[in-house]
Amino acid sequence: MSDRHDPGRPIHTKGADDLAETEGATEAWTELAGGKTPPAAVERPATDLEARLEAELLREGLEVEHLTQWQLIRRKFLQHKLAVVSLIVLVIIILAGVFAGTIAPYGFEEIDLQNRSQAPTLDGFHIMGTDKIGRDYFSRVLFGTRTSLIVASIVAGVSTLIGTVVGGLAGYMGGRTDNWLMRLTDLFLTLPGLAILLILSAFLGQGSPIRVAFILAFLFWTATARIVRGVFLSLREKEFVEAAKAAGASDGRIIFRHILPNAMGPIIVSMTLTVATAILVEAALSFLGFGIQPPNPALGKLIADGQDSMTTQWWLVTMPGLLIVTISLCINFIGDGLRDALDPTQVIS
Amino acid sequence: MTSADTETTPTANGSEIIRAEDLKVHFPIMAGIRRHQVGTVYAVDGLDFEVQKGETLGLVGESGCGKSTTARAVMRLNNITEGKVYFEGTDITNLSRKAMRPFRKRLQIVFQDPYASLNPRMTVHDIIAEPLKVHDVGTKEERSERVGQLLETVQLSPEHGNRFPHEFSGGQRQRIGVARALALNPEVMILDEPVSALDVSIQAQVINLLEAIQEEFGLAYLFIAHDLSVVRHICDRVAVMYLGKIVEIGPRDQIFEDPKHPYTKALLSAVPIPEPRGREERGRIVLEGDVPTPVDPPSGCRFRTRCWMAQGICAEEEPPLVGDGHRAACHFVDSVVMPPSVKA
Repeated sequence: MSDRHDPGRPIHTKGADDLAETEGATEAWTELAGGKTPPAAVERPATDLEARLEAELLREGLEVEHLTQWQLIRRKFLQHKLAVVSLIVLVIIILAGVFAGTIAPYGFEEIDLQNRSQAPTLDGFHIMGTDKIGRDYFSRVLFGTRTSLIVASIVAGVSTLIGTVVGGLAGYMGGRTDNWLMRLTDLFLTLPGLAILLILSAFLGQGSPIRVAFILAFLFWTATARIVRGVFLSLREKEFVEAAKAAGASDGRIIFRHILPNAMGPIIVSMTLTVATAILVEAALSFLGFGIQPPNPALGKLIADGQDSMTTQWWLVTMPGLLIVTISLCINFIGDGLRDALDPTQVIS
Repeated sequence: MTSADTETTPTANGSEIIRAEDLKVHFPIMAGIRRHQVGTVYAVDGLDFEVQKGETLGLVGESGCGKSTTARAVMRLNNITEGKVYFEGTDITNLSRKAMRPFRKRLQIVFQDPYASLNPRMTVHDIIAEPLKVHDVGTKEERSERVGQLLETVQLSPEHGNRFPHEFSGGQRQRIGVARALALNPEVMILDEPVSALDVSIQAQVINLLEAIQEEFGLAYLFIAHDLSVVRHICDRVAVMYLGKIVEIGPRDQIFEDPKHPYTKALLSAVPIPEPRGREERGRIVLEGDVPTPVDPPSGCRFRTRCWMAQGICAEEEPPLVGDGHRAACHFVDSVVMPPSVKA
């Protein structure tokens, strides 16, 4: 098969004027209209004045800004104020979690029976108070944040990955594959989540945050799978996908270059929702005694432990609660910002 | 030729580039929980046509008659139920995806909807460069240069490459689609209603561009349209479709000046005339009823349910395409008269 293409071969181009003149736009019109004189308004079809003007401007170097796609995305993200603020806050929280060992004034297991159930005070730097056996609550919240963040990011990452792969395959392949994968998803969806969680954590042993995270991830991917399948199913039928097929593009290329980028919005949104849910479910699990085991703190666990004395010692629930809310909100806003930044049709002024 | 499954027919004409033989595309209708087939849509039901090198064959017919399905079948985007498609004498009907690749280089398509046919997440440059990249043509720099040339060919400026499709108007987008189809220097371009989604003034512009490109590169077009004035302007030959079949095919002037088939006559009489004067005098044939469903097409001649000439034989026997060069599928091809309601 000889290669017919010769990229070096120059293509003779006619200028816009050239073409309109030589091809006789008016003449064409006369013919199109069946031999009748065209009305004055269409005597000269628009030759894209706008485009020519623009080209002119470009030539004069009035608008020479060339941004790559990633530069555009970054710039658009930075214009999303709420997302940027959220990102800063989240980074601070993450850093606090990562460096909990250095920042925390006390160890999370350090018991000080002299100072039990203290309200937040600067005395001894218990800025979030102490719990009923005198452990510094600020230190416990810091370590709890670390655990919760680890759990949340594993759950979000793993479940989004599984969900996207399963949903994407089902939506793209269609037919029998779709049917089987979706029945599998339905099966997972109908499983009584909490019961399975309890059984699994009982069998697999409790306590390790990473293990808890993986158990959660294997139950959480179904929602993402359903969303991704729907999006893939509709995108697969789009003409630009047909165009890629007509060009001879491989399945991989069609999926990764054409379908996935257009599906990023829903995927990111479902991922941010998963993060928030993961933190809360981990809390529920710990509350029932099957999640993170003491003395390891996790944000949910802290709330669960503090719940019985909520009315007298408000800080026990409020402090970790505030953190959960802040983290969830931040991630949601960042998700919004990312989604908009990745969508070239969204223009932020 | 490398693959064994590409056979060349000895009958292949030297200047013929695309030929369809008894092309059929049927879609099953599935129902019920067990997804069993309850019917068939006979979208395209036995087409014979060929496209010569450098010519434009127009495919006209009303909505739902199978024009786009034909285009997709020739592009191998649809499954072909029966019949054959030849590309320069090579049977491409059952080629595997891999074996089809070299033909994709030479056979490209421009879609109807310029808003749906460009990926909104890709820059214009990437969109046009995609066929080149897929076929591994040139280095990155060479491809960029080529994209610049192509943009100029379609009267856009190379600087437009950095933008996204939504920043362009319908006409500009359609020209981007044309540039993408041109990227691999194809020999045949299938134009699936390339202008019907555009404003009338922009239509002329795109049509002129397509003509200029054809002249420049010696392309063959399979031009699908429902707008007869556009077809009359651009096509060398015209095929008229009705309900999945070609009812008449022939050189443009003969079709327009001397239509043989009753359906073609009716179709041509419906072309709007811009001049109000004389509108009353011309013989406008108003067909009765609707197009029958392609799920259960009429027996014999498919047009008989709406034809004023229809007689017993039309329901029993399917009329073959008869004639030389200008062919029509009607039992009364030589005696078709205008319906009595129309003053000739």
